[in-house]
Amino acid sequence: MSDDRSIHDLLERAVRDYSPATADPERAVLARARRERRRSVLLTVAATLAVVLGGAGILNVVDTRTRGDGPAAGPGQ
Amino acid sequence: MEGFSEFVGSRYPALVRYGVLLTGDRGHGEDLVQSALVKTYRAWGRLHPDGQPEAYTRTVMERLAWRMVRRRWRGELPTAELPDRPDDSDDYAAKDEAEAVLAALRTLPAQQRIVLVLRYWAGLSESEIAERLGCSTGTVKSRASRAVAFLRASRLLNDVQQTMGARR
Repeated sequence: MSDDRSIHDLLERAVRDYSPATADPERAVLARARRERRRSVLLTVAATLAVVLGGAGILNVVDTRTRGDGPAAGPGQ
Repeated sequence: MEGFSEFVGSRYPALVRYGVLLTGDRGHGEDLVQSALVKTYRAWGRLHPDGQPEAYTRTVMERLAWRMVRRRWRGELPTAELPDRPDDSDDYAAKDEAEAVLAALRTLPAQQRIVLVLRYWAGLSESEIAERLGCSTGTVKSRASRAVAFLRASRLLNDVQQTMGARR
């Protein structure tokens, strides 16, 4: 007998009588899809916040340094 | 979503059996199927009614399993010791046998197991497997050959050949 056939039969024996444990697979899949969607939205929000806050921080530093280095304003100068 | 419920209802058991073989584990197999079905659900607009949702889901499962291997490759180590093989004389022989085969599959390094399942269970050619998994044909050949050598050494393959020969 060929290996192809006997290996197929061997694998078949491993799962022939197996029934899934999940009673309502569609519900489980939809719940997982919702969870993944929520996680993805949260990650996007967190990334956006990080960019905005980081950008604001950098602008603030640049602004402070520019003011410090610039010519002092005022009478007599 | 139209058609998705029917698709999952009718094909879930077969997909889970495929997942169990790809992972060598019932829990991980079902988890793999559900992860793949989430992607199928998102792509459902393209897959229904004219696409091939089952083929799509199976390909996603194969790629997810292959990618997981790369991340957890060191988690699975081959061993020469195999679990007890079943005795045909009791009523639970079929379940014991299934467990023995699954245990042997778990013992295989995961890449070998995946190639074995795609080659001998799904009936794909070496070039088709290489294309699906994004690896070379040489990799597929070497993994398949090592997996078959392992099954021969484990004597599980001999048992199957003897049983099938006796049935004739």
